[in-house]
Parts: sequence; C-alpha cells; structure tokens
Amino acid sequence: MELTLTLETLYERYGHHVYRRCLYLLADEAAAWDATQDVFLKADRGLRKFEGRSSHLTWLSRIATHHCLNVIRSRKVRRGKGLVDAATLESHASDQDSERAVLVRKLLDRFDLKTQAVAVHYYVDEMSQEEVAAAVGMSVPTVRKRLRHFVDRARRELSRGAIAIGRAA
Amino acid sequence: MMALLQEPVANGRPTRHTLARMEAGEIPEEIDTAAAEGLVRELRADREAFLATRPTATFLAGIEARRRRKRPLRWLVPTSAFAAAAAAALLTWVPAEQVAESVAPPVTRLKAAPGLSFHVQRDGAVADGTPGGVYHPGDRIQLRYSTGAHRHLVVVSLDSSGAVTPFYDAGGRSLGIEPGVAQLLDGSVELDGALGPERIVGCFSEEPLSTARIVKSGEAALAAAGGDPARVDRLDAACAQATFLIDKRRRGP
Repeated sequence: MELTLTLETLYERYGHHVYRRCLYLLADEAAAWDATQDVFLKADRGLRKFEGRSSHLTWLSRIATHHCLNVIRSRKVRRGKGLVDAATLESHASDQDSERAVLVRKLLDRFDLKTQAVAVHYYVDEMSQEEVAAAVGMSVPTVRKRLRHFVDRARRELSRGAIAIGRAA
Repeated sequence: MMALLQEPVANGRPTRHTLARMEAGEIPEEIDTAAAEGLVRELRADREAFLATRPTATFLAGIEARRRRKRPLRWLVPTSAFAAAAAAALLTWVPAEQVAESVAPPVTRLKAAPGLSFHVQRDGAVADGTPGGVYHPGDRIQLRYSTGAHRHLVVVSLDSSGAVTPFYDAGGRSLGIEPGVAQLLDGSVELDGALGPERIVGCFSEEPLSTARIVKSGEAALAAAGGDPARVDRLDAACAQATFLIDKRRRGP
C-alpha cells in the first residue's frame, strides 16, 4: 500500500466517499461540504503518522464518521431534539442509501458516539466486525456487544412505534 | 423492518466497503456478479460527478483558507490596540506569561488553572467573544480552552430558565482533551431563546468525568443561587473550573 499520498490524491480518490458519509449523517449539502474539508484537514495533520495499519478508505471513513457525529452532537445540544426531522433526513437520502442505511440514521441519536460509529461502519459501510474493530479501535467482542445493544434497543424502539419506518415517497 | 438489522449480507456480492476499496484502487477488482459491477459503476460515476462539481483546485483553496483561519496565533497575537484589549479580556483566566508562551506552536504546556474563551458567529461573521457581553438567540459560539495538565473536559451551560445543558462532552462522559493554550473545540453551539444571564462552565479533570454528575452539580448551584446564573460562583464538583457569563437578549428591531 502506498503510504505517502498527497492531500490532492487523497481527495481525488476518496473525496466523494467522505462527502457521501458527511451528507448521510448531516443531511445538509453545505454542512457536508464544510465537514468534508474539516475531515481532510484533520487527515492531512495525521498523514505523516499514517502507518498503513488500515486502508486509506477505512482511515478516512473513521475520521469522517467521528467528525460528523460530533457535529451532530454539538448542533443538537441546544435544540433538545434531533438535528433535523425525519422528513428532512429522508429528503437527503441519496439513491445510494439503502433502506437499512435510512433506518440506522433514524436510530443513531439514541446511542452514544462509539456505538453510533460502530453501527454506521457495520450497517452502512458493510464492514466486517473485524474491520469495524480496527476502524474504531475496539476489540471484536466489544464491537459485537455494541451491535447487539444496538439491535436490542432498535427492536424496542420499533415495537413501541418510536421510529417511523420506510422512506418518504 | 428488524430484518434489515440482521447480519448485513451483501446478497452474494462483496461488501460495499470492499467494492469501495476496489473502486479506489486499493485492492484488485475481482467482480463476478452483476450487482457488484453495478455498485462499482455507481461509485465511479459518483466520483466523477463529485469532482466535476467540487474540483480539486476549489478544494485545495478551501483547505488553505481553513489553515489560515485555524492557526492559533491568529487569534492570540493582537494586531491592534483593540485586539490587544479584546485578547486580554478573553484570556481572563490565563496569566500573561502563558499567553506569551502560546507563540511556540503547536501546543504549549501550562501549569496554572484552566481557562475558557469563545468566538461568536453572528450574521455570518465570526468575532472574539467578550465575557459579560450581550448576545442573541441564534448566535453561535465556539469555545477554546487552555490547560496545562487536564485531559478531560465537560462544558455545561446554566441559563436563567433553570436549565443546565451539556455543551461539550462525549456521550455522557468527559471529552478527551490535549493540554495547551487556546485549543479550539470542534463544533459550535447555537444559543437558544432562553433570555437573561447564562453561565458557561468548563470542568477540567485529570480523570474522566460523568456529565450527569456535572449537570447535577450545576442544577444544585443554580438552585442555591435562586436561579440566577450570574450569582453562581462555582459548581460543587471534583474538577478545576473556568467560567464566563454572557447576557442573552432578544435581538433589536
């Protein structure tokens, strides 16, 4: 694996992935573009320390997911409820977002940041549990435990009708 | 619906992550299903469309602008008498020699008490915030902290409606921080509609903190002060504290 990619090359190879991740989580094009630049700025600072233990895509996906989940947390802090309502989220669901991805996004704000990141990498990126563990810096059993917690809680929320299911027409 | 959250088997095709790695050229393309081929084609088209609307040159110019904006020295080195006065007001809790130390990038170790300062965004423009200043619902603030030793931080707000709200934490626990001068915290907070004095308190610790405990301490302090954030001196919490007050008023006509 090439370890010494320039910021320019990183952007041309992975910019669309980072942007899609930010748009998926932030549901706002301007905010997603803003976050994309922040993510690459962070990546650029860490590039010299990048040792190739994960792929560039996994590494950038982790930075982008963590950054955008933090943006959501800081945005909603004074609003009391979710960042945007379900309809707004769905209106930004791209054709590439599977039904599963839309459901996961609706569930995210019920969980702590690490569980959110685990769920996004597992269900949206379709990483294996081993890849998720490497991406978020946890052991595989811990990832498995968090996924079980995510599913159990999702089941409760869905059964009491707290989550509207299906995509907007 | 719950079936969607079972093992995300990719219908016999490689996972989305694997296909994305193939599309980025990280691993050789070994595609043997129509579904996988379709997804890689989608990813490729997405990359082309993305780079057409957000070309590399635009991206690099944006990054350079951010680098200039985020350099800590820009915020700390006064460029005029006004800026000098503003910087002095901002760094109320940071002794003068520590401000001087901040000239040495990127992170300066301090020994003294922690400090908290802020920037305000109003109508698109960003300015240094002034403790005690008048701000309006809808203004956004972003915080900076200074500390020499602490590794954990929770920031809460105590407002005149009696609410104690975490501004910065990490899912119910303290945020991990690096010691340094005027370190910018990620993200900003929009001021809500609760008018009157509002106190922002940063709790710094060398050990992890529970946000719920800090919030509880904030509620107790607010109750003891008759609900007036301006009269809150400090929270009864096992942490070093830095605080400032803002005066939130409705925007004039």
